[in-house]
Amino acid sequence: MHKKAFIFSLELLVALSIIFSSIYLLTTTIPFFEDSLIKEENLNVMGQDLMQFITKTRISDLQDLQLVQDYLNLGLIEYKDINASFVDVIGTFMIQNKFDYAKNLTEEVFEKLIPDNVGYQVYFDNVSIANKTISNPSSELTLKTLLSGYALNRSLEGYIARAWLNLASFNETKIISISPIGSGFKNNTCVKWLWWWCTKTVEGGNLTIVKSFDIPADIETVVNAELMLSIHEEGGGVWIYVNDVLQHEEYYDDKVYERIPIHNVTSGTNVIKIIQEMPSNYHAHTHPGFLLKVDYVRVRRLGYKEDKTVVIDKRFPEIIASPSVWETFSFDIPRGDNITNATLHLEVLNVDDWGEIWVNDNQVWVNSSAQGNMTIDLDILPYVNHENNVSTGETNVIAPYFDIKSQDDYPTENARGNIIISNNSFVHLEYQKPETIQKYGLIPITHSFEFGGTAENDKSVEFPLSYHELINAYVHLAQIYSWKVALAAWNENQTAPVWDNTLKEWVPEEMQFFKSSTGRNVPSSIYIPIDMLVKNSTNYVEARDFGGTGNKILPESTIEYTYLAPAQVGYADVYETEIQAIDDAINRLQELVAPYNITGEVNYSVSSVTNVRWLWGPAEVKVVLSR
Amino acid sequence: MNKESQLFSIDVGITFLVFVGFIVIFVNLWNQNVRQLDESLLKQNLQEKISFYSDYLVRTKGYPEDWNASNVLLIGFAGDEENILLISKIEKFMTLNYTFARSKMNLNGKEFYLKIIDVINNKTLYSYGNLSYQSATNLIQVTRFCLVNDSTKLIPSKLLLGVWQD
Repeated sequence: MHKKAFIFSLELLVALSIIFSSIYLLTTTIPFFEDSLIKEENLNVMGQDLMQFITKTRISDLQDLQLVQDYLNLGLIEYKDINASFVDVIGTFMIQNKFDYAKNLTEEVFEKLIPDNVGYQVYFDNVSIANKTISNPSSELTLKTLLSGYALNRSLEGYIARAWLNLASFNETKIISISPIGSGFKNNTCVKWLWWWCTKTVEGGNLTIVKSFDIPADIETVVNAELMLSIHEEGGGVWIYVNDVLQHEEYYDDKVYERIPIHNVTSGTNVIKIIQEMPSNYHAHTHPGFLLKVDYVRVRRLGYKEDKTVVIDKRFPEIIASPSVWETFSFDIPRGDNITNATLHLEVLNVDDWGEIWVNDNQVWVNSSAQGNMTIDLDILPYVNHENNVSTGETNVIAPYFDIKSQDDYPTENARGNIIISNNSFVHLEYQKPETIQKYGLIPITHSFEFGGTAENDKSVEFPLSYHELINAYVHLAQIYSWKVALAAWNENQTAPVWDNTLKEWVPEEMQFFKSSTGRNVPSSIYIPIDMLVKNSTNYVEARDFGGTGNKILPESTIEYTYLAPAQVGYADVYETEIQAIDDAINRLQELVAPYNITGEVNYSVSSVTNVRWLWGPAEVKVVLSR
Repeated sequence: MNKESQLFSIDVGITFLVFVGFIVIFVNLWNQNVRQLDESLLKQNLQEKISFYSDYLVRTKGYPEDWNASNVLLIGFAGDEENILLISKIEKFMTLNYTFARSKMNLNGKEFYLKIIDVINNKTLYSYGNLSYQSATNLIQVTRFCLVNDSTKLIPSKLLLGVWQD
């Protein structure tokens, strides 16, 4: 025998077998449309229909079922509920702890509907109502629907109560800020004594600032008031009056940042007057962080309502300065609000030769022959911080200069006597909120805290927000020297911004909410867009002065924020007696208001209930189908 | 006679027979596989059609909404609410010619039946189409839960739609 040929044939046979087997196996792995997919598709359709069915089928539609007839005859389902849906009746049985009735009715209906090869499980708030198991299911589908007005373990008859603070009493702080204002820098005008001799000794003169402010009419008592005096007075006296009562009188010889206790602040309109004497050196002016902080106990009714359209005039303080005047006046429009109008009305008296007005970094008006009493009306909308008329939330600054040029540090040649910016001057703003908050049962409360620590060029502060529903927030920077600042905010879930020394701004840019557009543009009140501050998180605010190394941000810099505090609780559990229901409501209210330090006269309302189910819920009805 | 060469021929013959046998088995398996694939594709096609059309029947009013035999483009039984079927529309459907209804349901070349059963009393309310579906191979069937509004009450029902291709 030729063994060689035989072996060769066998090898060929084995090889061919392997090739054909491989081809066959390959073709059988082509994914066919399996029956299981059809079943899954059907199960999905069945599930969707089932949810429609149980919510739309009424008890009256099921009257042909003997079980439903029995339930009606026995009064387990009342005839008044004949038009209730199947799922409503199941829900009623569940909250009445009549689990067997719920189970029997569910099984009766589901057995009529669901094919034998499909299993089901029905749950009410995760409590099993009924189920049918099948062996080795290959697919499963879960469907849920919400049923309002039902809650397990809640009695259907008894008393319920709600409670609220009729008049809520709480501590609040109001901050009145004055942005930098000055009487004109040293006079560079040459005063000739002899033909070869002249001096430049005429300094900026007296400065008087008169600012009105309102303290709410519903305060109980003023607890404390202090002025954060932030001025530059080199060799002259300073007098501070509140409501024409002298509060402070002192001779200063340098820059000053100190706390002055203030009395005589009352509810209603108050007036603070600051007089800075013509200094023997340099000139009189205020610095950033010039604030009046008033702490009081306020008693007010619940409720907070925002108007869709805001129309407001922001009044300038009266400034009497010699021989020239400059001012920074800030205002803000919440980020996202649609600005429809922004105009400036400025009344200036006794102008000698020069006037210019800046809005942010735009010189919007200049007059080199300004003279006498002037009334200036300007449309400043194009210069306000916005994109397509939607506010960017960045604080705006108006800076008028009269008888002094913005780029100079001395008055103009003809500047003489007192020049006055009248308190008839104002910025008129009209803007619309995309959404408004209107809530009964909430109280807006304003609090503040200081940065603390030490004076630094670049200073940050933690701003923890746990339960607060913010409606506004401001930074009041305090500085002795200042030129330009940039501020950023972020929260613990974000990476802190870094300072770009080339661009002179915080990076990323979206974390920066204010940057001085020009020198001295450091308002005492800088708005933080509240969408930058996150609830239940630690937020951070960082401020950096990029005008010079000596320009420190002081620890007295302050964050002011207003939030909505709740002061009412709704209905909850049903109690057997009125007293129990009232006690429960009052306890819940006290627990609710405790973190906010709110007290007040408690009011309550108690009602007896009989099947008032819409007060509760919703409950979840879950159906699981398996095949 | 040379014995050695005779032995060689027998070897070749046996090998050839085994090989042919193997080929026959392979071709059979292959054909069976192709048939399964065809069937699967057909089922997939039928499933898609039946899912789409049963949804249209129970969840929409049809098009136009007040359709009749002369203007109907799509047949739907629902009224203002999904899964609640109007008896007036079902009865209009019952009067349609089978071939016409089949074409409107985009089932040309296929057979179908439709049944609406009162689930509480287990009574067939309506049946339509080719009712010899029990002997059909490749029958794809879908069950939809619905309520039939007969203007006095809502009848808890099942709509069965079956499609097959002989």
